[in-house]
Amino acid sequence: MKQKEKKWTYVNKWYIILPLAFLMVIYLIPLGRMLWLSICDKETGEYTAEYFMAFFKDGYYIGVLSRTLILSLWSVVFCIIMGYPVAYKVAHMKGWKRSIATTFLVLPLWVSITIRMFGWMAILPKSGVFSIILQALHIISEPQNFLGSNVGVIMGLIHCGLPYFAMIMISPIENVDPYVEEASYVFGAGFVKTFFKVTLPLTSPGIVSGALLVFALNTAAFMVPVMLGGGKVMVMTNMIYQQTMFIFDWNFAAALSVVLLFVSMFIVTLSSFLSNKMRIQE
Amino acid sequence: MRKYKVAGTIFNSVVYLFLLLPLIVVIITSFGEGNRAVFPTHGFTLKWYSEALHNVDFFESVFISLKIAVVSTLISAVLGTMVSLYFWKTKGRLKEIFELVFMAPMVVPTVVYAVAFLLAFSSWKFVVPYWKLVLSYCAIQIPYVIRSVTAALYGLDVSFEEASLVLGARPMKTLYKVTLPCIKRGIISGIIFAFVVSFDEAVIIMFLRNASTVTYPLRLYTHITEQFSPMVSAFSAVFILISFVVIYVIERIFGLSNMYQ
Repeated sequence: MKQKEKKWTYVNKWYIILPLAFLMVIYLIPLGRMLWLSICDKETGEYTAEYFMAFFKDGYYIGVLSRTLILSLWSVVFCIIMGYPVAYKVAHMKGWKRSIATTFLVLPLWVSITIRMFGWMAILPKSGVFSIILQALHIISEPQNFLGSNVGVIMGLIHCGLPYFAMIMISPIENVDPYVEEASYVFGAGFVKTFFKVTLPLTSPGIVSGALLVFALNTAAFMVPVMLGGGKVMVMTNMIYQQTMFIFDWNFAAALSVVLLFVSMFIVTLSSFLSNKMRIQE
Repeated sequence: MRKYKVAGTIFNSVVYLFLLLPLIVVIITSFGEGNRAVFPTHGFTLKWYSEALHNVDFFESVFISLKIAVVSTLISAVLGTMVSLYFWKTKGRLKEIFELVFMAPMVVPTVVYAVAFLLAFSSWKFVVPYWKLVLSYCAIQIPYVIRSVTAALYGLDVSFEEASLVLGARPMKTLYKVTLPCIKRGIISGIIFAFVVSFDEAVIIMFLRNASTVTYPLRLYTHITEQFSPMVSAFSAVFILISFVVIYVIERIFGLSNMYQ
């Protein structure tokens, strides 16, 4: 019987060996080599921890790492605040209206990131529209240049993360049983109370996984700090770029990449750990 | 209830405006008369479009991007579908490890991979830059193909295949005549995703930049950092329009919500 089953199926071991060999050569071996370079001395080729020591002992590099995380965290906060209501609205739409709403929501993701950041570069300068709006709202008193500032980079990060967050939130919100919300209304709770006591708690696993995804994406964002940071806002990714392409300290660049890799891995592991835990609680 | 609805509509309009503002600004600046693309603009002119039309560099870089994207998408579609079929047919501990390995490019920051690839292959002078880009793009495209095809296979009834086999079709014939046609939609949406990933790829190219392979995101980047003229806006505006049409067609055929789960 077993023999027969084997003869029946067209899938054999080559279906995995071939792609695995391909991935090994172009992906896994380069990553392994990078790990090795980060702990190997430039001249002697012996094991050394000097690059990691240089990173963790220098307050400048620690500052860069914490800036990376803080900017990313701010963008996540705004993605939740801005993305949740949009997802809520889209989840309650139907037909062509919903088509249009989703199309415009993900349109930015399908436009090359270079073009999106170019748009922000036209918005953020001193004479740009962002400064004009903030002046009109009396948040700033004089025209200000936001290109090359933390605020500018956060704007770019929100713009990249928001569509993902909203799209992820649509199905958890949709899955909330309408009768549960209705029951809340029937028993006299208003919209606000129903939202905060019923809808929000029911969709909180979705919020956590969406937020962590955006956090991981934005921590690793490259074009945003490169184009909107203007060389002034240093985060991990553009520092790696600088070390690799302009300073040519490849061992140190490898060490920086390893640090960023571990940070991303930590966020992703945390995400899967939390989503498993919440699934058990349910 | 009513006032919350109104407040919600206003808030959502502001969010949509925020999302679309950069794209709108790019389109508006392409008609501006000034030499630098800063919004708000003044005047109205079409000269940037005619200038963009006569810029050979831009069209060359789009052609290079297409040449890379077509080949890398083809490779990753074949490999990704093979892996998905393997995952579909097997179980066990080893499969879980393979899954982690193949999905890794979605988790590992592209910057990290770009550095790793540069360090590993900088000494390989005999591999032309074109193939370096094709191969490195494949690695980040394969997870997208696997995700779409696996989703399609998940909903596929095994009895279709069994029926074909019982009726005497050879396994390979079953694959080509039954299984692959059944998951056609998954493969196509995987190909679309993979193609866009490759065509718009802007991170790896920054590290593997080379005079002979200036892809279109890199060409845009160099123009933006060096000149910042509205000609780039004109060029970008055309691409925004193309993206809009493509994405609306995809929404009508596949439903975008299904693609972002």
